[in-house]
Amino acid sequence: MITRRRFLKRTIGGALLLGGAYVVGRQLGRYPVEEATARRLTVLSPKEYTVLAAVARRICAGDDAGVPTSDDTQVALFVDGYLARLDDGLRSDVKALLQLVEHGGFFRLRAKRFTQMAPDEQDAMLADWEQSRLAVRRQGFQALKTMCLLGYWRDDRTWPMLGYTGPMVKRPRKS
Amino acid sequence: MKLAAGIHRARDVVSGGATVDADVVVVGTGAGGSMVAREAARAGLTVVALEEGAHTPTTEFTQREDEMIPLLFQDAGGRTTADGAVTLLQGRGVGGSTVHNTNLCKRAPAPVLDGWGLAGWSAAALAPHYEVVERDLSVSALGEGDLNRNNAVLKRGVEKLGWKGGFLHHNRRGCARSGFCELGCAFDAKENAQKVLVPQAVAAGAAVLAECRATKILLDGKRAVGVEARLLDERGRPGATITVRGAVVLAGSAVGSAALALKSRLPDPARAVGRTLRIHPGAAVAGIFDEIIEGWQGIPQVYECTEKLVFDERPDNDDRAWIIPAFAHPVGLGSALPGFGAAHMKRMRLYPRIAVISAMLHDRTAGTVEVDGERLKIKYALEAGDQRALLKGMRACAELLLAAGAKTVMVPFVRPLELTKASELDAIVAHGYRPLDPLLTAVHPMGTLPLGRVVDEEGRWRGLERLWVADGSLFPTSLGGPPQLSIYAAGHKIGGHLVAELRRA
Repeated sequence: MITRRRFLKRTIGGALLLGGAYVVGRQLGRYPVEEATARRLTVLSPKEYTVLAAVARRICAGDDAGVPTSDDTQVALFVDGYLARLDDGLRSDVKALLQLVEHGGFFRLRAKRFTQMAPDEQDAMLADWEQSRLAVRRQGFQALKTMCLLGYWRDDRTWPMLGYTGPMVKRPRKS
Repeated sequence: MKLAAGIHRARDVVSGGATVDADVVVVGTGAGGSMVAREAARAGLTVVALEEGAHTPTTEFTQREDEMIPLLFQDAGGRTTADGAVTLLQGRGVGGSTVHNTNLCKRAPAPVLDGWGLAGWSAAALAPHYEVVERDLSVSALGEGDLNRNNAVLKRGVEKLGWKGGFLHHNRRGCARSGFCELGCAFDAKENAQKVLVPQAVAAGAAVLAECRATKILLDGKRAVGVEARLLDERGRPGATITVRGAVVLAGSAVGSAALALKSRLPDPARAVGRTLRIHPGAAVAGIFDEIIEGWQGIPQVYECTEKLVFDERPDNDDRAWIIPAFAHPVGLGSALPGFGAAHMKRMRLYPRIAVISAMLHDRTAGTVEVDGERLKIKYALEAGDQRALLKGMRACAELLLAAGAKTVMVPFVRPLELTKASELDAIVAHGYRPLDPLLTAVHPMGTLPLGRVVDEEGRWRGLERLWVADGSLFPTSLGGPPQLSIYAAGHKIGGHLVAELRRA
């Protein structure tokens, strides 16, 4: 589920992309996040949070206007909490992956960052990653998808559209 | 210092720099480790078992994926092979993988065991150990009344095609059929390491140190003398170091035990440590039915199809798929279904009418476990023969679903194949395999410290004294079926050897 930075580094293209994304990522713009949300972040920077929230909106996009959104279900905030349970290496992998998503277009002569793209452009980029001939892109896509879906389908409000009845036991949440 | 019997959170009972004395230190409290701990404690030896994960009473299990997956699985459920192609679900916590597994109890097939040619490991020689495990863990046969609709689909497909299939055995008592086995049993109905063996070991005097990560096997010349370990804080971060002195048993899984052996630079004259990882990789295939399936309700795995599982070691045998039901809760299913966004959600809405079965491969691929500083690397690139066998197994899954009445079969390649009739089945094999296409899941790591090469037939590390291995690492090949019963049995056998040797000393 989690991408492996060292796997990226084992490929020449991966190393260039990863290193380049870090450099570019440090140089470019600000990513304002509401103060209350920023205070709750434990792993992600405001920029990483913003990129992840943008990815989650596309991964969890509904097929009907009435379904809960990834913002309703606070997917990006949930993933931040999930990442806090991983070791340092895996957390670094995810942070690097988010930089790559945001600035990966730069290396393919696309002018826009991911967060600046229109939804259909974002979908095209994610589909490109999902079906890429490069295993590392498919791996990155799957890592993002799994984390976002964990954050989305965990929420009781999403279950009625599946007919899913949820836990049989009713116990206090652990967190 | 000596520890009182009981299950302790390590940081509550020992401080950094402490040295704990025992006759035996067991690393890991899953099927193998808990069994050795029980046998050694019952023989009057002082036992300390180290467990990296937490001890969580089943009364705290919530049946929620977002809470239980991070709690019960290594890397919060995110462990994969280095290329991300296989998600490797491994247990973490007192009881190990026996806490989240689906309770399947099947002896390793005689052709596999006998094929090893190892003294004491033939099907006949292991039978007494299996009998003890089956008795102590209340193993019983499942039957017609235990089928949920997902299992009934598989059975119907098997019967329509005239294929080989049958009911499985399990270790449950008082099952509420809630369907949440893989998230830990909130009803404490699993007769597993956590419920049965660890408490029996503690009753016999053993101490368990939970949230304590073994970091190094300590040697004095050619003699294992203990384990160095780190106390973990409430977020799982390693803190102070302690030492537990005693003879050592490695039982931290085929991944964890091999990684610890490598970090400890244990002698490896055969150059075999961590080099023959088998995992039973599995690929799921979904059938969409007119009828309601609601596969999340009821016992998840009751019935098996063995038509495509032939125990023949010749290279051209591609019939190596064990076919079982594989239903998942929403997050699990969502991750496995291809696509994203609105199209993905449309597929998810079919959830109540989806049946899922999986082809789990009796694999030959030799993966590796490596360590790079503090990081673990699991490499596993499916070899050509295994790719063929996997695709053939997926084809069989699709054939079963169509025979059972599926209107559409969805094969979760990146560009999903949707099939409606048997004449289209060959498209699955024609598609081929590439990493992450389809996604694979594995739950049975084995083979990284194999009998006969790294350890002797009594489970003792070759070239060292007072160091044993007692987990799935031991198996020289994959088993072609659920390994938990065999790991318990191996723990029972090796526990006996250990007790005999330490009593002689």
